Amino acid sequence: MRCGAVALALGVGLLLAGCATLGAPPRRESASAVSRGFERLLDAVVRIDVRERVFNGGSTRFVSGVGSGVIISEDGLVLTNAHVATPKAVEISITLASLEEVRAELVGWDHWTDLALLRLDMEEVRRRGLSFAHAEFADSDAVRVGETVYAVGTPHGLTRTVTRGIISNTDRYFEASDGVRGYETGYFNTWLQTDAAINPGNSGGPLVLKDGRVVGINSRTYLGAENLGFAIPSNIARTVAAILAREGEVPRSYIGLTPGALRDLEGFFQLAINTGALINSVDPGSPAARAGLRPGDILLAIDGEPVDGRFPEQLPPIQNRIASVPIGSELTLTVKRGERTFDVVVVTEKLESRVGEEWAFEKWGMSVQEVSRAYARENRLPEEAGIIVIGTQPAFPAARAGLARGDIITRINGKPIESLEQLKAIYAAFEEKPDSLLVEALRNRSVTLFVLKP
Amino acid sequence: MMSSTPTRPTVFRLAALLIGAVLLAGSHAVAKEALADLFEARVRSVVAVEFFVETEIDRRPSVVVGVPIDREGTVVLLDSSVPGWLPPAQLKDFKIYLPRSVDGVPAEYLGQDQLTGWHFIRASAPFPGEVVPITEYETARPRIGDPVWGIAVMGKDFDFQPYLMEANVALLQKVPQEVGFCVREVASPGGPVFSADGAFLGWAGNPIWQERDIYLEGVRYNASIRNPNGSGSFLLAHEFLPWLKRIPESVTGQAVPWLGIIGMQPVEREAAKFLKIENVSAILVSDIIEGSPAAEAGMQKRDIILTIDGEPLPRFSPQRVVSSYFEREILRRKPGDRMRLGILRGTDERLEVEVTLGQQPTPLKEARRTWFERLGFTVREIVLYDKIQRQLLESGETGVIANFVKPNTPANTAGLMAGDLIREIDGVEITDYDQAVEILRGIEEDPTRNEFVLLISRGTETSVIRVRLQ
Repeated sequence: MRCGAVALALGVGLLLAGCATLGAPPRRESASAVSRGFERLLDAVVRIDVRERVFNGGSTRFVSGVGSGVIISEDGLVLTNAHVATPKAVEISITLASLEEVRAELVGWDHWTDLALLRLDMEEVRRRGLSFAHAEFADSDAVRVGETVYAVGTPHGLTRTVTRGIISNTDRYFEASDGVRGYETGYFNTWLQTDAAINPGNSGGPLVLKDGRVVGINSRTYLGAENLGFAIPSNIARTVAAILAREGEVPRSYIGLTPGALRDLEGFFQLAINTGALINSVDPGSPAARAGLRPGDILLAIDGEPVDGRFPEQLPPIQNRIASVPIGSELTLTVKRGERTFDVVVVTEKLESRVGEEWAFEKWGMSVQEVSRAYARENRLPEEAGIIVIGTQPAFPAARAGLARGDIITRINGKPIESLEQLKAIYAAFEEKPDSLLVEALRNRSVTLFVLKP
Repeated sequence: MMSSTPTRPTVFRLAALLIGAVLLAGSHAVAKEALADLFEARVRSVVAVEFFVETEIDRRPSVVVGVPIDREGTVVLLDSSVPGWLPPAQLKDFKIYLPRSVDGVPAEYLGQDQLTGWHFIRASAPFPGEVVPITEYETARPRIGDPVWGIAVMGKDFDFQPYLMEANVALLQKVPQEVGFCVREVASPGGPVFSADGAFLGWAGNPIWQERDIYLEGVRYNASIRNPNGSGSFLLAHEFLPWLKRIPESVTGQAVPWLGIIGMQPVEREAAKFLKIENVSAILVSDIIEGSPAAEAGMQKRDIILTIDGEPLPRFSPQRVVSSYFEREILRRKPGDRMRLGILRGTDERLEVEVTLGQQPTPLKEARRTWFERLGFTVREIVLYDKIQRQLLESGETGVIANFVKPNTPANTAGLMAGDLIREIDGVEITDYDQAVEILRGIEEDPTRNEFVLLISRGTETSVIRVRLQ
């Protein structure tokens, strides 16, 4: 079991922890200082133990971690962080307020907002006659800076820990391209900031008001700093949870532009103040690029509705607006370039993560990840296809052939490799009848040949 | 490269000398009397060279060792003596010092030969009579185990005192030129190496990195160490002397032959066996530059080169040496020369292509650049090297490079970084260097200007940067 913080992203650490269980008999007395709503909330907060399968290092391995969560419905839906329970989880066990453990399964996952939705095994709950409460949401847009809040969770494995603080900021901007276990996060939302003590293990636990209503899901903290914690606002968590319950993922639209804050460039671009957002980057080959948009253009309106991107805090809502339309929609963008203002129509694509599917080929001693569209663009890869080697085991065929982490497999026996499925098929054939394979891989952009021998 | 010498390092160097002397005392290989005389005679064939590297904000001294190659005052220096990317205009005030001398003779930088990589300089006046060009000795070919000795030179504060180093030949190896590796350091990098009877054996090369395991408080680290002032290998005389006539005719604008292929990888033994080309040496070509001689000749990405003009590529160990061999084979020819390359394409197609070598596009060090003092940065013309490095060949992006950004200047404060590709200035797309310089000069010289805006690319990100001029 891992102890302490497990991830660092730009100095912001996720709050997943793994530590020994610290159990204590439940005390069920009602203290006068604590409202009934708060009592009820305490009965809705859970500890989450996750065992997951990871593919690094050339093999499949199992690791475990601990986080927090909050039950949000009668039928046993539990909201937590995407970095606590991932699709790689093979075993999720939830400790209720009564200290009883129940199995759960992953219902939906959204790394962009760092949220995951689990469901308690209700069959087991009924069979064992267990009970739990579920939390209620507050309106996160109505919270004020300075308002008292409480963080509830399992910091460092200390089950059902409550800490107190205030809302330090209601609109914190933070995004990271690898913030949730290597996945992107924070592009579509801002965060609540609090000084309530939040530690590794608090991840996925609720940030609540005095009356016990949830205003946020605690997610990250600055490691090494004190009392700088961040939570996903409840209004976003609620919406995302509803979609996850229905569809298992949040479908989002993508057009391939990255907005930038205009700050005080209005003068240069001859704009009225609080008008437009700067287009900072356009992904090559994306709908925006195909529509002829260029970095340095100003986005004035989306479907006729004005855009205001003067400050970084205003950018996630703009991104979210684009992401929220159904995939395949036509969006009319009003753009200013120099003196000229014009409209372009883009058709949105499905938003994809830069992290491709991972797998391990045990007999080769090699773990791999599919090259995603975003990864290929980011690395200006000549072809969009290929499989990245993310780990090898010493003395196994892949390592013996000379393959190493970071190589991108492009061909096998002269045939282009375009998907993980193809490689899996080759592996299956190899398992059945082991034979030497000529592997072509890109290493530092140079084509190199390797021979994978049984 | 020797550093100019503050006190502490020289003490260490003296200590190292003493250790060397002890080692020498224990050696019976070379007759001492004869060696002292030989040393005095051969010291006349080594020089120290001082020069300065001038950048936008400072001037750094360098001292290196070289050998005289004629009586007119020409000296050859190792390729590493001068960083290859430095524009020659930034190399200043060359001076040649004879060992034990206080006054140097000013010299002119003649340039770098593309094939060997060696730099040549020439003194403003012929060498005094006591200097003996390295070309005037008898040469010999060493064998493994032979005792050999060489000359090293101390720093400027020691008046370039020459001292003797001694070793034995441990290995002779083609990498791809034939090099003698010694059991320990034998001369200053760039110094001469002789046999026991005084024959010229070769020219000491760059210091070699040596792998060491280091334990610090119980933790094991892998370390690579080298002595910057001592070389344990030398290029054999027959690989050295014939190339000394390749003195560049001009510092810049040399006609360098060019094929236009990227990412040459040797085909390792197992892969060669798989492709049924075992027992030969082969090079896999990662990419072909559009419009290059290789592309014109119909070469393709993934072609495997097996022969040059019908001759198979020689085998080397390590195998990767074949890439340097192939590069030399191109560089020793001239633009316009023809070359037939035998190629394996796919798994079984064999063909021969005839390429006419072109001329290498502007090298990085010859790219034009301009420093804008008020703005705080230097712009540089974009060259093929940049386009390969940044994968711009396919996207066709243009612009100029921010080559240097001075700290605490408007450009630096605005967030411009060295290496950024500047694509637009004040909304104007930059398509060539002259245009960029003209616009920036206009801004720099306009005292009423208090800001300008750049669109830059860094990696795959682009951003707009506003530079305030106050």
